[in-house]
Amino acid sequence: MKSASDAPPRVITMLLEGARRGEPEAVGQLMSLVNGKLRRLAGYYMRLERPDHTLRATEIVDEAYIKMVGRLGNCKNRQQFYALAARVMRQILTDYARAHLREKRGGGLKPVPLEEALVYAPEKAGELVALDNALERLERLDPRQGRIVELLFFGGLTVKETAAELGISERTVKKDWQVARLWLHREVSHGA
Amino acid sequence: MGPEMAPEYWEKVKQIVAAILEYDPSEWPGLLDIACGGNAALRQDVESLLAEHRRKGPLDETGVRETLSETQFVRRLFDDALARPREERRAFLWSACGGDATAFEQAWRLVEMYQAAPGASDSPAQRFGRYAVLAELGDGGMGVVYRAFDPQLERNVAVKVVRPDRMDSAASKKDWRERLLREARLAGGLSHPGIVVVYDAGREGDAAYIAMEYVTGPSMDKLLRAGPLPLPKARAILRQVAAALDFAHQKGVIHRDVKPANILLQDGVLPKVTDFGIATLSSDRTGDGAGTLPYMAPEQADGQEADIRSDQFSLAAVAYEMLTGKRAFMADTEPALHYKIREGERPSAAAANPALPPAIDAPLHRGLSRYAGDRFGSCTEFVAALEACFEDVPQARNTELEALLREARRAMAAGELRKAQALLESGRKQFGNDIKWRMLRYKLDKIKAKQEA
Repeated sequence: MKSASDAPPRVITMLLEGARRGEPEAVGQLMSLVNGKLRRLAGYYMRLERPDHTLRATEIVDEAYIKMVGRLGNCKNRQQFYALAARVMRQILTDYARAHLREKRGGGLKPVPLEEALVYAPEKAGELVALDNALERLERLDPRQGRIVELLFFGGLTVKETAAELGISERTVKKDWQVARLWLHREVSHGA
Repeated sequence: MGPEMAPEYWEKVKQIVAAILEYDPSEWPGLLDIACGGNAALRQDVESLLAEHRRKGPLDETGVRETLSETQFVRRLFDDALARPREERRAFLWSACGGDATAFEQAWRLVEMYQAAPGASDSPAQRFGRYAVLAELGDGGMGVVYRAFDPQLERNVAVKVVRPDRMDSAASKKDWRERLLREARLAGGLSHPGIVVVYDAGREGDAAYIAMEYVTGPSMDKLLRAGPLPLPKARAILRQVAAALDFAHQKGVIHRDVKPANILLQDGVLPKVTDFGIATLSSDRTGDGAGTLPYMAPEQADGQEADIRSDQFSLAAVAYEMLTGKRAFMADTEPALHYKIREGERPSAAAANPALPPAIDAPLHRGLSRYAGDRFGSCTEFVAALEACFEDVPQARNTELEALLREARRAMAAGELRKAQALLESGRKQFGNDIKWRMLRYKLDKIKAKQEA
């Protein structure tokens, strides 16, 4: 398993420049850096009984690719690239979760094809939406702590990588993460 | 703490919670007093966060790498897979890895290792710490021993578990947990090939457990159900058990419960002493005492302090049983047994098993002395004295065999094959298993076949 920190920052910067010039090769290489992390996260939220769940995970990752490629032009360096991956992943997962909940409530909405493709484990969708809401509140309270959660949880980065991305110590990342975890869990479980 | 909370206040709460998290939960109440002082609102905010500490939430999902290393991640996948029934495990892993083939392969390999082991459960596996239960090895009344799989070192271990539901009071629960930990500490410090290694100790819910070396082989008491052991085997085992006990004694550890059930035989041959420290409280154990009383030294049975010579007494009682197939001390009631151990005449092993040299009773009785001061200086000394009794037995037998073989060889050299054959046959019953006898017999058959051809 390749870790994102394996790729030197200079290489990512070069690839980003290539992507901006519209080189498909560069885009492919950039995406392969986040592929494993995105797949893992997507896979976890799929309903297990579905035999085609890995296909669904692939669809999510594909959509993340499309969304990311469109915005790669705004990324200047490695830090922004990983932040983008985490942000996109969070958006897609929670958007699907919201749509899934709406559909289940039978709001008379016509199911979107992609929404149907994404089948959440029963309890996961509500949890994910509650988590997203809580994370938004945390971001207002403590922006750095919010970014740490986004990178670790949605971006799949390790503590070491996150510390490097944000230019802070690993110890600070761990401390912030631990307390954020307690806070978010409390908010989610109390339905706040 | 809603969105209306001030960032400065949150920073303060965050710092306090992070600082407290670095300590053991048992110390948290005191730390809360120091950190929050009389500020009840602050204290409540901090406490409500700390209360989430043990609960699992969405951020703990397998899909999250957060603080996990690659190995930890694979282990977590393994743990989560084993919490599911067998038929769901593969699909779960595949899904949880989301196409990360390497992680899937590593975790699936562990699951397959577990599933391939005899006794593996098809329903969600019972866990003690990282150990996944495979099969029950024995139930000792207050504790159960399992064979379990250790995914970290990828090997089988024995896990001894003390369950609180087997205890009658909170006090005895605590007592047993401490006893178990004591065993872990005692045996954990003893590194010897003749002593079962203790790897790890921990708690799972209310139960306490220790993980130990898994010995593939029966315990001595199972072996003894088939009668006395062959003498060379009995002697080899006693030598090694004595060396293991002496090693423990030199480290200041007294076993206190040496008995056949506590001697495991790796591959049926190599003895390994187990159950260290658990017997510390044998004297105040009620109801269960009968199980170990037959091997208990008189001073121990009287509730006095046991020392290294008490272990020697028990070893002598075990030796008696290995050599004769019978218990050294037997009685219908516990008081009668107690009396025999303290006052009764020591039984004769030579009388119980005629194959033993008569001299064997002297060292056995010395090991079984009523007074610790009358026993040997060490277990090895005791076994050496036992061995000395055997010295001339095989020698006499050897001389007899050598004489027979010499005569048969002479007859063969002289071409008197019929005489040689008769000589060998005369010793078949006594020496038929001996390799030297069999080799000569083989040689004779070949010469005969050549002549006939």
